[in-house]
Amino acid sequence: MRDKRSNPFCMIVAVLIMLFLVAPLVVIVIASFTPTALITFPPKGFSLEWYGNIFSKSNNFVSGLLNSLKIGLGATVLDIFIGVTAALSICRYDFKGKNILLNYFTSPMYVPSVCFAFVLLQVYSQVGRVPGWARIFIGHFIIILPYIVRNTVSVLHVFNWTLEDAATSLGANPVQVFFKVTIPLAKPGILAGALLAFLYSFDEVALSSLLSTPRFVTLPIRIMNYMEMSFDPTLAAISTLLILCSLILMLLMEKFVGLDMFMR
Amino acid sequence: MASLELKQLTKKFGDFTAVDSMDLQVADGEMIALLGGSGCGKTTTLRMIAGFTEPFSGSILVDGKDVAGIPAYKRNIGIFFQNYALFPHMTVFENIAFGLKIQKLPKAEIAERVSEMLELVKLYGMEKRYPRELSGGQQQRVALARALVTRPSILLLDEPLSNLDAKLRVEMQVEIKRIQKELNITTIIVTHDHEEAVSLADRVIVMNAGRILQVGTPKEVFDDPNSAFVADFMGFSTFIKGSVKLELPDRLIVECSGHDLSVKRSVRDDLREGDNCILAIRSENIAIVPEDNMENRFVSGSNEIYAQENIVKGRVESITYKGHSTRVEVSGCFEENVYPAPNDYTGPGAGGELRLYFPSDKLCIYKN
Amino acid sequence: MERKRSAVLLALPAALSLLIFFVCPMVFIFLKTIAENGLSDFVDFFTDPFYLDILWTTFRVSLVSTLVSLILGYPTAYYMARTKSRLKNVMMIIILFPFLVSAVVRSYGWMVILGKNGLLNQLLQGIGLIKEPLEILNTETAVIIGMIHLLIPYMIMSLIGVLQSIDPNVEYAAQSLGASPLETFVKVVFPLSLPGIISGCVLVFTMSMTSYVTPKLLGGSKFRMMATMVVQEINVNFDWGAASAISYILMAAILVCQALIVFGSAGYMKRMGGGKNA
Repeated sequence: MRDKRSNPFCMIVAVLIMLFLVAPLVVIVIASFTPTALITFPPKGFSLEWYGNIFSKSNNFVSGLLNSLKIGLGATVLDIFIGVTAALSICRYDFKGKNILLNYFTSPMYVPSVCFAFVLLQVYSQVGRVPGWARIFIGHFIIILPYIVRNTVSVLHVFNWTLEDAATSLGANPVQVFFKVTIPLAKPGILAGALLAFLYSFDEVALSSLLSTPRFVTLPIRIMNYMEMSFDPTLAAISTLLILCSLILMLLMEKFVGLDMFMR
Repeated sequence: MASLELKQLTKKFGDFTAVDSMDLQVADGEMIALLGGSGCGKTTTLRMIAGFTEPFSGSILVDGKDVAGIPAYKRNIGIFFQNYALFPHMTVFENIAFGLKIQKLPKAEIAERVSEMLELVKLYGMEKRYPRELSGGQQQRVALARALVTRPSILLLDEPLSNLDAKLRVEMQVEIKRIQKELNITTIIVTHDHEEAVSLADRVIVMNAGRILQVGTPKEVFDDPNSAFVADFMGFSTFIKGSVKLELPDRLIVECSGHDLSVKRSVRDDLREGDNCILAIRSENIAIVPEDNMENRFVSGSNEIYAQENIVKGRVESITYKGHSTRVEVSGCFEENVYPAPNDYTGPGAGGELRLYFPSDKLCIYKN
Repeated sequence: MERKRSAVLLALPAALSLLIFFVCPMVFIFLKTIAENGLSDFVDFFTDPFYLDILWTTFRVSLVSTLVSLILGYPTAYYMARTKSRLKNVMMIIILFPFLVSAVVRSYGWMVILGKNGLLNQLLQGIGLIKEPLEILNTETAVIIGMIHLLIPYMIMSLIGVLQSIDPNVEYAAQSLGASPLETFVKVVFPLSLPGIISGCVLVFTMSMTSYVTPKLLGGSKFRMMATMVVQEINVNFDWGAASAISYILMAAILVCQALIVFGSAGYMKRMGGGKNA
């Protein structure tokens, strides 16, 4: 059945844009199986050699991955605590200056991460002897906070606060109300925000490239460093694995919270 | 089960007084309705009883004991919320069991009491559904069951029928009344709908601007409002200005735009000759006098009327058919237009003339 | 009031964290830079054509990326907002997916495609369209392509939100009153979608002004934008004074551009009673 409302011109543009969006990802996946060091199309054969290369010690991809996971998970978990409470303070109570407070909590979004990283770099040089992980952790901890606050606020904004009254009238004390009613209902927003925040940290380059020390390097920086030395399909292989992880995360999110959570 | 007493209860928001020195006594097992428009203070009163907001001054006594300082979650007051406030992430069973789980009752007892409730509200077999899978009427029953399952001492109903269509309303009205009588629970209904109040409650309290205007049985409030404001709120549609011409022992003669109307005296009127007044009457109580009947002996509704006075001529402005009745707008009787609403209108069309009869015992009179 | 106290308590951890690790460092370093170096680095920036060219390049790339994203994103968003076909869900996933894939990976994909021995050159040479490989990688064109790829999903998401909220009956109403499809678009749909256009443009423009990975990987060593220049001044030239001047000028440039876009459209938005969504 033809849809009267859709205009063929719009549909063609839409399809082309989709191809444009998918193209580089598809190319990466195909390239990762090329047997030759030079990526050619169509690939001359099939090989998993480059995937093995990811795990060779000298490339340090695995240690980079572990560092990225430590920073990303640590910062996300900590930010869930302070971000959700911050969002609650804004949404549950009615007071003047709510919007100012919300803008304050999301302010790191409005500062380019390079600029913030440089400021931190100068502070560290004043303080001296800040451990490598902490240099990056503090930066990520701050720049991902807005994502959690914003996504939680977007659910709590439409939250039916009468539900808290209902639970209270049934005998639940404030702590029980929070964990049995408020948190379960805000969970989709919190999870979506946490996922975006984690991915932001996991993929972050600008800040990490200024703040990393030779002994503590995150995965994206490792990948970029590798690019400067060599351009073989090891990069395609590790990119394919990262794409795969994103795909799995996305499917999990769709299953548990629904994708419309990301559209706020 | 408990009695409730409000003493000089007052709530202020800044300079605005939402509830003003309210006194009220509710007997054990009684069902009362707080009736008023938005902002009249009825919801604030309910929230203070529930413990969601602290009174500014005055006290709330349950069974004679002041509940000040007892947090909402320890008051054991069941609340039925206007939009039901069912927990969307819980099934019907979990919703109803919530209060019992909080009390940490043994599982078997919870299951037993929930199924008792499901039986009471006639929702057996629905326990595994989620609120979004239920119709409005079913959601309402779940909300009622959830509020009752903890055996609260007092039940508060916030606009219980407002979200339902006409047919369900009647059904739920009967249901709520049946359950309330069965459990004999002290109940307070908050509503802006006079029909809801009158049909459910044993006693109706009409409020405006934080004060109680009238307290009475549904019949008293419905038939004999104590002020023009309450009359307007209770659905009186025709108001006529006039002045008292003559005081008689059992009635007053009121002159309205050149016509004399005889009005039965009520216990509370203190009107004297020459006082300005307002007469109010319900549409359905204004009778249309058939033109050919010169003796003024006719049948209106189920009553046979022999009218000797209070008949006024007017001109039909418009006729609106409303299904169970017909609303006729009539001008020229008085300065104000009047609106009779006969069940079965057979009179003249727009522009035609007709005679209206205003029964003296149906006219309410207020000082102006 | 107890409620006020709990609000403050809840807000405190985040508020303090931001104060200690974000606001204080930003203010402290700003004051310190001004106190130690005065304004000489800022003067240097604005008198050196090398730096001015970088600022202009950054602005130009961002502007082109934003406009192309808008022009291509609008029909896409319109189609997605109005279609009932199943394709919509697939498209939604394709648009959301890049959000979850690292910018490094996505830029790498374009490097493979646009490189001298890349897919595109192999393809064009294979069908005999060109003899010598095209130089696309390490040019501004490559950066703009990568930037659009990175940012067009944001534009489409902002537009879909607004377009979906426009009642299709408004369009039917306009057409029943004799407006042609083009007039309907110009006089009805476009004005109503303006809040989404503005928020989308502000978002995309800001992100491209501050982007680091895309210009670094697709622009090559000779192509510089403000963000890559900051890192270069620090890591390569060791000139912290210049780096801080560039970073403060970048922040200021973003604020000015955002203000121009938002205030420039504010009058119009007010007239149509919108603006709440922007």
